[in-house]
Amino acid sequence: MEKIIKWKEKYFPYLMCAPAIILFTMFIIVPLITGFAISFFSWDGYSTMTFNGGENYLFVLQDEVYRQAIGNTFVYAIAVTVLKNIIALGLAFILVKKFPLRNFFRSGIYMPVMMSYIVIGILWTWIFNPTFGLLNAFLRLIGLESLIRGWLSDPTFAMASVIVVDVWKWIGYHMVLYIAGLQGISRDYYEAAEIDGANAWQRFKNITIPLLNPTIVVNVLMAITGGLVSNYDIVHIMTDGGPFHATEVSATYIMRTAFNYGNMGKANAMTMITFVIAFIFGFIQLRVMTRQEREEN
Amino acid sequence: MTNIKKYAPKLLGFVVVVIFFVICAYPIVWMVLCSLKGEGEFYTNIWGIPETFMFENYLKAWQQGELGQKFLNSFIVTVGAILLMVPVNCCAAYAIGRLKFKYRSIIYIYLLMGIMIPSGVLGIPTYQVALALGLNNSLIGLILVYASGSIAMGIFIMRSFFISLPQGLEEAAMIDGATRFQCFTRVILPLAKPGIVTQIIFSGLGYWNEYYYANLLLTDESLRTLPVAASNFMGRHNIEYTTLFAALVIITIPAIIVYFVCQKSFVEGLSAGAMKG
Amino acid sequence: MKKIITLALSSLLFLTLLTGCGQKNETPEDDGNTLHFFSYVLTDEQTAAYEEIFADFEEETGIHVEASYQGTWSEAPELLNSMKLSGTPVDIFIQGVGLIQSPLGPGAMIKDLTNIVDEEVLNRYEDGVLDSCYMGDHLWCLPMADGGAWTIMYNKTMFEELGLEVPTTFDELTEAAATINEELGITPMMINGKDTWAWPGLYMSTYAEATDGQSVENVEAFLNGDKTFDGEAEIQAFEWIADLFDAGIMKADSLDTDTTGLVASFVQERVAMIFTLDSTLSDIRNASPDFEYGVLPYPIMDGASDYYYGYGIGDGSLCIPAFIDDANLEKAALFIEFATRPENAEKVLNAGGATKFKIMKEVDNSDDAFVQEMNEVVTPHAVTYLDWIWPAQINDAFCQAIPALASGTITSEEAVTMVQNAYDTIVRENDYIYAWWDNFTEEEAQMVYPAE
Repeated sequence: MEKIIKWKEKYFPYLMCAPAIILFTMFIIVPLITGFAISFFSWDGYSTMTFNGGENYLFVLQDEVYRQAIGNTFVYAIAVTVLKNIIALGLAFILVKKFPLRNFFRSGIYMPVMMSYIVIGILWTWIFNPTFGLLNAFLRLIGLESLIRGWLSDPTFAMASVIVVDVWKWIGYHMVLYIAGLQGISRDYYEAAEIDGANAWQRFKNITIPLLNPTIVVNVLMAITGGLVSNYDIVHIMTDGGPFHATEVSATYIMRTAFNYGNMGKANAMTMITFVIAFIFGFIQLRVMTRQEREEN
Repeated sequence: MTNIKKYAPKLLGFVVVVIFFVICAYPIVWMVLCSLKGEGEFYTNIWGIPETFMFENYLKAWQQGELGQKFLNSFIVTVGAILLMVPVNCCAAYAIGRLKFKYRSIIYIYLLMGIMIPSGVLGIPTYQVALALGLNNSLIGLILVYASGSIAMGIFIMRSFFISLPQGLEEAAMIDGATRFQCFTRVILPLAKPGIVTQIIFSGLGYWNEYYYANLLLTDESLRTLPVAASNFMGRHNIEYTTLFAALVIITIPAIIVYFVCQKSFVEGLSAGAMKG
Repeated sequence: MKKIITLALSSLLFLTLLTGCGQKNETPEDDGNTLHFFSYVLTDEQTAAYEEIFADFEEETGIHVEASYQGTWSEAPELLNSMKLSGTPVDIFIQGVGLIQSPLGPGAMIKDLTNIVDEEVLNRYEDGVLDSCYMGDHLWCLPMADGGAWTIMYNKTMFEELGLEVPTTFDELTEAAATINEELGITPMMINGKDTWAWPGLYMSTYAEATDGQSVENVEAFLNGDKTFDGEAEIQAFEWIADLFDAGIMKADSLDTDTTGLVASFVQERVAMIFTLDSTLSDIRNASPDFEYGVLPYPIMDGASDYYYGYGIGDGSLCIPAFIDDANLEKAALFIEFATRPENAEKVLNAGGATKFKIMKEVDNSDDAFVQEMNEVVTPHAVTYLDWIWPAQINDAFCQAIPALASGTITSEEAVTMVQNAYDTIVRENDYIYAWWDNFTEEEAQMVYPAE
């Protein structure tokens, strides 16, 4: 009996992890490995596969568009992460306090989270429409006609326009998480600090930020993964990588290579490279942001 | 003077919130208005209120898309995936977060990899796995695929909750004679509610709106989910926008209801718990 | 210990349950007398028409048709592939000619119909209609839906009010555009350039003008590697598109306009002419605009002798998958013969209104005034859609190059280089061969070409 208890003690953690590991391996890792294998073949997804060594990786490295797409992906990911978090935190600060119709406003700002991409695509394409779009009409109304331009077709502004839409969709979600985080900070800390004569900025820097850190880590990680690897839907509906690859991110380019160009081998090679880059980046980001937590342990 | 100083930031805050509110909430109103327009009016009266409210668009969407059955399917898949994902993630995250064992960090990093996998082209290999297990064309296959997609992020969130709970909670319970597993279910899990809520809201919405795998995995008409049904309104050349929008409103309504019902416990629950760190 | 055993047992039970549930749906009842029909989701009227044909077919032959409809038109190849992988039987399926050059044909997904379909069936079709269904002298599909064409639709009422004649040459169009812009302050012509797929439509017209209607032959030579894409005609065709923008006929607003936006702008009279696929016609009709509209000839450019429009018949075509169970091949051929009988085909072709183009000899197309005008202006000047011939990467090069050209970012010379580069890339990376029908592996050839 003693032995069994010992055995249970020893293997309990593994038993707890087992379902997650099994499920994860079956539906995420096995496909990933399959994809890795495919990346060494020349294959259109339909006909017979032919092995072509590491040639696909060579093609990817030579591909200017892919390099541009990776660059864009990072610009995109960093921009949406910073904007989503700053705006959401700002709104959370306002809406966590006593505020008329607080819940009503919170719910309203949360709405875009629930909208389907089909609607978002049509809505924003039409808001940006040069003929009857709301944005240009608004600029005309306030006398800023010089700012009117093709928001999605001008390579200089297209990326910014797509980023705006992504931020718009998700700030509500991040705001709710931040509100929750802020509510969790006990008022006592602030009162004590106020007695010590700390000003608003000092209170923010020395109390809010450290105590909010776990919330910030979750929010930043969600925004980063959204920007790095789960950005296909939004970019696809807004510009699908255009104009002239100005908004091409690796996800759109991979999907196009696979399903429009019928080059599964190269698409999988790009997936592997994107995965490695994103993983290293995400890992570093996590290490940096949880440094404090690890030092404490 | 003092009044201005006192109220200026408040007023500014109010203006900012109202601006964001309009930008974020108007589209929902727009979507509903569009769904009530006539087919021609959709093109001629883009931003305005419909001349006559065409409620029959909803009837048409419901009947033509046979949304009743699809509603049920979407519900089964979403709830099923949540019911599978939450315990799986909680167990693993608990072990990784609060127990010490040899391969802990390796397992954690292994599972965390999932966050950064761009899944697009891996759809077909995933389909092949489902096929090999005989799970194609079944809701259970879809549930498994969905749940496994949420493992990485779910474990990350849950682990950070478990870590932030004070040390020694389990020791106290074990002195009272509880087993390790009982400690987890009776002491730790109730404290981790906010984390669970975060996961459910984030992933559940994703399951409800998911299109790609639902379309690839399910071939039986009777098994299809709502987003797949909605896409049927987008024909080869012509899209019946008004019917499509009606269908999309129908899809969005449950999400909105769930949000309003859970809103209080969602926000309160989140903050009552461990996120304070 | 007990607990571990219980846990192990219950998880085992759970797993068997999973597999059990999955397989439940997998064994389709097959009494050997069933045909499996698969299509992307059709309109309600088309579906009803097919259902009627299935019923009549069963009555005549005793063969039951099991139909399923899934996904959108462009997803169909992927879904068909998943059915192949999972062993789901498919005997007849509906697909467009546009997807045969890539991916269905080279992917060995469809059967050669040349020896399966009788002469009698072929004779049911209007002359020339089947041209685009033949590739490398093999027949791959039989059209069962309306054709389509690029056109310039214009606001007749607006033209009349401004006293404008129907322009036929580029100079006349430039003048008309100038008048429209001066008098009404609106953009004269627009294309749905935000949908990048629309841009090659312009090139189909200008390239045909530059090659005296030999655009298809020239593109085939280019894809075969017999010529490079940098000749005078190729550059000229790009130049003529740039001219539309330089002359103020089209403006930058085209770059941000999608199909729905194009229709909305047109019915709201915020644009006088639209370059569009004729499928927008039904949306325009539904919006019941309070003006008359018609079709303009594509402007004849300086130095060209005639005008052309890209066009094609072959959407919604009947195909047989290469992985069909050989035992069903004969039944599938029977069905094709049955479905293409004029009295049956008519049901599908005219579902939801008569077709714009004449597809079959004994099935009338629409006598609508607009359609008649279109058949006078467009049909005699039709050249096959080039994007049904060149692969997706080449098409994409055009989709990128033309808007860049329109906004003055690149020159016509750079545009042809982009196209040539795209070709060189697919030859290198995809082992692209134009004549895919001659390059199957032995195993694939056995599937694609039925034994005689």
